[in-house]
Order: sequence, then structure tokens, then C-alpha cells
Amino acid sequence: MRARKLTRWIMPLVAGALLALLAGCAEEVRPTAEPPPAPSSQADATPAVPSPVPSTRADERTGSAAPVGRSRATPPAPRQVDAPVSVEVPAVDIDADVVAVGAAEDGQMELPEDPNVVGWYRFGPAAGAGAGSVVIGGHVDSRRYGLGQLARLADAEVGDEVVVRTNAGAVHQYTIVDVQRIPKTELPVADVFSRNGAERLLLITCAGDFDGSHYSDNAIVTAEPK
Amino acid sequence: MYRSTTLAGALLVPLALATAGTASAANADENEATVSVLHGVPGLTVDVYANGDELIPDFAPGTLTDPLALPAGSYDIAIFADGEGPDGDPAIEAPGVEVPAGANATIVAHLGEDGSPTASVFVNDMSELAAGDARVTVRHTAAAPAVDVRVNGTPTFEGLTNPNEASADVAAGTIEADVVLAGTEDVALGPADLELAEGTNTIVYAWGSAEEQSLELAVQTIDGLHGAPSGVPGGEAGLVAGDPSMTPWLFAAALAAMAAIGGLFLRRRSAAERA
Repeated sequence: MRARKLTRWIMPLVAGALLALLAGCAEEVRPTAEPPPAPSSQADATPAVPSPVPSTRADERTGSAAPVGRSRATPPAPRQVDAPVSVEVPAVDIDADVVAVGAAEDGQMELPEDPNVVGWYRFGPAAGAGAGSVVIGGHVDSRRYGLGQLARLADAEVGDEVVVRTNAGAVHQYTIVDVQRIPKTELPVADVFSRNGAERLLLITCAGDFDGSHYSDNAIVTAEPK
Repeated sequence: MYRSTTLAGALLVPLALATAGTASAANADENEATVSVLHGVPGLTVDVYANGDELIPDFAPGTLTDPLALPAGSYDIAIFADGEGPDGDPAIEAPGVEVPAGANATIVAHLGEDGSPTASVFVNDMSELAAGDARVTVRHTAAAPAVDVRVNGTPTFEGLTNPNEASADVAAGTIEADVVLAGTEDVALGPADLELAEGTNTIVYAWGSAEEQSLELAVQTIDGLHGAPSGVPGGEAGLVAGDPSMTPWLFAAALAAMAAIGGLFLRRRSAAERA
């Protein structure tokens, strides 16, 4: 059983995993990575604490001839990203320019000051990445500019089309699968900003009651690639 | 033959692993560790043996293995010149290298400060980063005296000695780093541009020998440490608040408030009273 663990190479955490996701072909990255699974009865019988005696472990480590993946210890190539530049929801007349944004000082997602421009969370996936949440958010309104593009987001309906255009001219089409309002204090940020799972597009703005400076809720539209 | 029982100071660092389990190797259970091996001894292609079994054949200087899942525990590491093991004299022998359970660790074969080959274990900090941040870790594994690591020209990690490390969480972005002899302006290595990607721990090793003029940098990157933003702020004027039928009233109230701030409200009321 330990031999199995020894010969089972973990998927590379870094470039390998990312490349695999981008390429959509995780199995092809390391064709010899997975030895046949050991009988489950043996795996279940693994003691909670393995003996720390080296000789025991050495005796069990047999047949570990699988090649060990390795690479030059040089910096990875910078991530090449085709950033979104516009987002449209034709059914509710949304057509907004998109700029790349990060995290604000207070830890929240940064948003463009002008609510007619929306922000794409640049640390997460870009449209077309194939995995994870593509998050585009914007202010619903502003004291300076009035109502924003996403003020009409609440009128969007399941089945409506969303179109994202990228810097390189790619066009990614999505279909709305969910429209919801969530109290801001309950926004599941780990899910919203997840970089794993099937690709989905999230359009987020504010809604609900206004206390003089903040809204109580987030309006979230979830769309899946067509 | 050189002998060493060196363990890095890093081993004594409390493991900040509360969130590391899911961020790191998916298959590592509590009794396993995720281990990468870096070859930082110049000029010698080797075979690495752990507890008598060959772990990494034909291992060239400046290369890093993919992460391996190993049972946690104590390992006798023996490193032989390529093809000479395991019955000959190892070039490097490091008995009792401790690999902590649940840890993500890097075993480094490198030169000690005095130039003798050794092996050290560093536990990699896998704790979750704040949204937008990156972690940079520097490790001194070179035959060289104490150094300062300068980031964008400013000494940031000072007095670092072999085989120790220092780390900081910083805003993601590109930095220019160089290595100087501690307390001096004498550049030993670099400068090098490093992209610190958001959500990653970029680990930079200085390895080789100052005396032999073989100092080099090696870089290991661990990703998946990103945190999510705490929320999406989304609005500031109340124009779409609550029931849609209320919107005109709130809009009017907002205008009134803005007017009052400007002093207009008072003037208009005075005009009305006069009328």
C-alpha cells in the first residue's frame, strides 16, 4: 500500500494543472502518472500513523521505477490572458465596456468608478478559459454618474443571451441559467470567485434596500457557455 | 564523502496549514507529505536514494521534481554520482531528514556555507493569501556568507544565512530582485525580474558557490493559494433601492440631500417664503 503511494505522482500543482485545464486534456499531461489502483481493502487497512522506522519503509518501497517528472527551476512563463473588453445582454439593453480590475484596499472586488463601465476580476479566469468563474461586476449607480449599465440586470431572465468580446476579438456567448438576489453578508465568495469547475460567467451588481451609503443585497446573474 | 544532518530552520516554523489541505495535493492524506526535490549542487548529475531505494535517477543541477506524495516520516537521503549507487560512497549523505505529515515541503540538495554538499528540508507556506496578493520566499542554499535580498532596490530580507529562508506576502506584480552581501552594495546575484503571480508562493533559491563564481537562482512556484475578495460593493446612490415603485421618491430624496449639501436648498426655501 505504501508502495502505491510512493509511486503515485501527484498532479503537478503549478503549471501542469493549469495547462491541463486550459488544454482540456488532463489525462494527456502525464500518461504514465497513475499506476493501477491498489485493492481498496489494503488502502482501508492503512494504519493511522505509519511506522517511522526507515527500514520498514525501505522494505516496502519496491518497484518504484516510475519516472519522476522534473523541470528546470526557472520562473514559469507569464500567464497569457485574452481579457474581455465588452459585455452585452441584448434582452435588457446592457452593452458595457469591460476593464480589468483587482482587489480593493478593503479586500472587496475593485469596481470601476463609472457605473457605465464594468470590471472583470483579472486574477480569476478570463472568458473562454474553460474552467472557473469569470466574474464581471459593476456599480449599479453612482452619485456622480447616476444609474449604471447593470441597473437593468435585475430584469434579465433565464434563457437570455450574454455576449463577451475579448481584446483579441474573440466572441464568447453564454446563456443565463440563474438570476438571484443574495444578502451581501451571505455572498458565498469562495464559490463566486472559484477558479475550478465548469466555466461560468457571473454578472454582479447591487440591489435591495439602501441604507444611505450601501445596498443590502447583491444581484447575481449566472450564465453558462453556449 | 560528506556527512550532514543539517535540517533547515524552516522545519521549526509552525505549520500554517489550516487551509493547505485542499489547496495542495488533492490526494495527500494526513500521513503523507507533498515533497518536491531541488538539485542545487553545481556540476554533478546524480541519482537520489531515499532509505536505500532510488527516488530520482539522472538528476541534473538546477532541476526541480514535480511534487511527489511521500509517507511522512524520517528519510535517509543518499545522493550518488550518476550510476554509482547505491553500494558506493554517496557524494552527499543526509540521514534522518524529517518530512512532516501533511506538509508541502521541498528537499534541497545544496552546498553548505562552507561549500560542503548537504541536504535540507524546507516546509512551504501554503496558507491562503488575501485576494490580489502573492507570497515571495527566499532561501539561502549557496556556499556564500550572509546576504541581503533587495526588492526594487530596497533591502527587504536582511542577513539571510545558509540554510535559512524568509518570506513576505506582497501585492501581486513584477519585482526586480537582487542579492547583495549582507550590509553591502556588492551584488552577488541578479538583478532578475520576477513575476509574482496572484495566489502563488514564488520561492527563490540562491545556490552554487560564491568562491567558484557559480551562484545561480532557482525558482519554484506553488499556486492555488489565492483567496477570494470579501465581497462586491456594487452601488452607492440608492437609485434602485427596494421596491421599484419607490425609486422616484428615493431619487428625489437623494437630489434633495445633494442640494442641501450645496446650500441650494436653503436658498430655494428663502425664495419660496418670499413669494
